Amino acid sequence: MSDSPLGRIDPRWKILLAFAVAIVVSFSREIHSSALLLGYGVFLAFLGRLSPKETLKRLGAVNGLLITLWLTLPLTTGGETVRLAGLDLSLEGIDLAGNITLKSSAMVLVLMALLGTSQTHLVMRGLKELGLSTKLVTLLHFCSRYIHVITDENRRIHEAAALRGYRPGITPRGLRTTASMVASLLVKSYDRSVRVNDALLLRGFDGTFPSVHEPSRAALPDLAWFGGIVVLFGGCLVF
Amino acid sequence: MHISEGVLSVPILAAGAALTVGFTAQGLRSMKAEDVPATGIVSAGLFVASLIHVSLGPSSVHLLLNGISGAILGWAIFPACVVALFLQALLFQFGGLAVLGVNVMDMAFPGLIFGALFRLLFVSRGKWALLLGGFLCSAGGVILTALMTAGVLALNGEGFMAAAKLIVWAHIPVALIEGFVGAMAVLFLAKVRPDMIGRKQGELL
Repeated sequence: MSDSPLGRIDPRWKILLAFAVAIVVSFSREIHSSALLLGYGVFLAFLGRLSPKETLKRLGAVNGLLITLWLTLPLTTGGETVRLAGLDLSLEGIDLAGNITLKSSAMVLVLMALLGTSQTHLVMRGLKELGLSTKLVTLLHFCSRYIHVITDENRRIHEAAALRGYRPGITPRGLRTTASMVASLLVKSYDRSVRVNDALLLRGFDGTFPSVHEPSRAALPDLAWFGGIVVLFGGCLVF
Repeated sequence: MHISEGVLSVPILAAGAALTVGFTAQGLRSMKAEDVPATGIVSAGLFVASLIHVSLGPSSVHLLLNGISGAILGWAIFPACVVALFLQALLFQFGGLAVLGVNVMDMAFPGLIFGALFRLLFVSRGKWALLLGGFLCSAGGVILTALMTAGVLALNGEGFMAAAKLIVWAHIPVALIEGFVGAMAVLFLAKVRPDMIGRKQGELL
């Protein structure tokens, strides 16, 4: 987690930089500036010591939308065309699909390198210190904490169903079983929420957690070189 | 179906973000501070349940569950969606940060509308009303999400029209599956935990 140069940095700075990059990515319309942003993403991934295998797997898991855009944009965008394998493909469409792919890949790398290198609870604390609503941060905290617990519940329900011959398919029985699984998960999470709520009330919970932490302070050297990364990003903007 | 970072133009992103901020603020106001942990845990349950896959020919579809989420959470569906999609960006890098507002709007708004319709029209009218309401609101949630996602893409530029149409067509089987699953899941909840959809034991069936 924190054995990389980026892992030591105060999450607040990383959150701000991630949002800044996201905004710049949205504005980027030229293919060369998107390529530069992707280069910056690769640079951050290197600083975050991301595992190449894992990173490539995440980048390769392109969502259906990108594939859909590659299949449609070159065929439906007007302008000059190039003939390839018997199809007239629009150059503008290819440029657009390529640009979008570069931008979304850049963002995947930036998210992994900046927010993936801090533990989730520290990212949440950073969000709270940046002034995000306490209710929203508490919600985020409980949701992320219990996703793991409920994923385990889900695995148990699945194993029990699979042992009894359940196959997830489009048959009346398959759908009925899926519906029971969904509803059981919801009932289990609801019951758990009532239990946790009672336990919290018993301990005097009033909607906020007393903070046991010192407010985080960034060490000067860290701040200095992180400042360098931000300046470099500024350099990307100028070009 | 999340729209990934880098697809949409800045005005659309800004509009989505502004709408989501407004709706989320209203959602947060509707939650009492001490109810937040329970809402978070139920949101986690919905998050995990929406990862359940149903095989469909050679591929598989996963459920959106936004109609049912709206019926359970009401206004709180907005903050719950913000949290769920932020976690997806954080843990799996799906979606993104600038596009978060648009994606939350596409998911949570249909959930809010169909959840409210379900509570208003179909609750406390017997078993068949629950089944019908569960089907219509679950399927409606998926269809409206697909239409909104497609609409956003269509606004983004002429070339995106074909992708937008494909998204709507691709979601019709998903809507049907989700409708059947939603109807039966609602009936299950009505029998086992009727207070989850806002009624006491015995009032629903």
